[in-house]
Amino acid sequence: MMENIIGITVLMFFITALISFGVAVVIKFIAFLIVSQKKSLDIKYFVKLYRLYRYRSIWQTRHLRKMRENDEFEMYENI
Amino acid sequence: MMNLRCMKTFNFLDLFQGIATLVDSDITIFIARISLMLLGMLLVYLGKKGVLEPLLMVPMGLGMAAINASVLFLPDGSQGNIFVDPLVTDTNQLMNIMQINWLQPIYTFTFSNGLIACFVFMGIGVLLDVGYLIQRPFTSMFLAFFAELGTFATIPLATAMGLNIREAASIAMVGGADGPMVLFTSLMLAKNIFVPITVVAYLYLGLTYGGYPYLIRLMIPKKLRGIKMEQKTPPKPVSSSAKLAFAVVMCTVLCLLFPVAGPLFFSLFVGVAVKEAGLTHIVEFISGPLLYGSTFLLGLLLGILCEAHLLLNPKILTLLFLGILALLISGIGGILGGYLLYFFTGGKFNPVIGIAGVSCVPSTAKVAQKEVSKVNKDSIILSYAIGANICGVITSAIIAGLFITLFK
Repeated sequence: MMENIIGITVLMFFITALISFGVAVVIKFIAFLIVSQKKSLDIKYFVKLYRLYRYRSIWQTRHLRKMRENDEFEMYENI
Repeated sequence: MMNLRCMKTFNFLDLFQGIATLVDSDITIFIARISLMLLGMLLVYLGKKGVLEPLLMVPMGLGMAAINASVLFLPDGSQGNIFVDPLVTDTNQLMNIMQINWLQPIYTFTFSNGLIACFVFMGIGVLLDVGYLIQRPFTSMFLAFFAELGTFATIPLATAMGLNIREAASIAMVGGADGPMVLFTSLMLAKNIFVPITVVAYLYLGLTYGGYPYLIRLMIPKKLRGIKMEQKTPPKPVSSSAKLAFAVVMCTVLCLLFPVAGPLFFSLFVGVAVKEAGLTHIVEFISGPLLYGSTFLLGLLLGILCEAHLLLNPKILTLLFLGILALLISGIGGILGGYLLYFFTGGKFNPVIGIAGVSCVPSTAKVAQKEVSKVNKDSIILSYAIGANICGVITSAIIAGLFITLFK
């Protein structure tokens, strides 16, 4: 019984240490994002992300068209 | 003739029921009531002198003296009072009592559900400046973690002394040195002994201000106490947006991890959020009427709950011992954390800051600065100490959440 309680206590000690470290990491992350005035939250960042997304969809369309031209679809359908 | 007959059966003690109940009770209750009345008076005196926290101790002491004096015979012949009955559970009985006992509504609707603890937490949130914490999160969290040593060390000791695991966890929370947290945890885990645990906790928390300076002087030599904290680059000021973002993210993450302690996390961070959002009128309300009103009612109710019948629990001596032990070990743990940082930084860190990891906001931070200033007036450690102090509150809340989740 006593061994169990000591075991649980030690386990809780480590869980708390882990969570405390996690909390510190979250705080550091917030500090990094906002306090250090990085441009990561700038609107340009989101614009870049959106463009990337658009490029990705353009690339996908081109890729699909290419696949269709090469009759790769039919090949997959046969499988 | 009728009047004469009445006079014959008239018992002088019936006129003064406080004394009648004192005479009628057994010797243990008699001594306990007299002792608690005297202790109440002593608390008021110590509060006035500034040895203990006057905001809490004056109403608590007076309540303690009054409740033990005003015991009377109830219609069913038993002894009781018309202040509050904390043990009533039946709904019908509660409704009846609520119309007689004047403090019963406040007890039922604010104390026994932890609302008052949450109000105090909101007030603490408004008073906190999380900027210090955002500037040095790892150092602050490290110290706060070490200052919880008493909380963990007390659990096995308490179980070895005969308490069950829930009671052990509740009394161990005294090591976190956070009154509302102890109240909340003991209400959740050990409702049968939450009155003595909370009273013990608040009595001892008053002692941190008086006792910790001696612990610092005992464990840290004068030379180290005077270390000046030097910074290579001055810390960047933290904007209100950053503090608000911190409050929102931390509140959400911690509520996600420990929903049982959600009310406490929410209360603490909503205080920080309204302050950083610039809601001046709400800040004034929380930091003024709400915080002071809650603290006053908390002190009053704690005093009223110190009735001899309620406090004469066979476990009270164990709780008294474990409470002081938990606080002592936490203080030692905090200083050990300070020493570790002292060695890690090659002797540039003042180990006194470690004591501020004990989350008695802002008492321990003030104690740390006071002790350092006594040795070296040029050494300013308050910003570090406040950071560790705030982290202490967060760590205590995390541990409370962990205990309630695991043991409920």
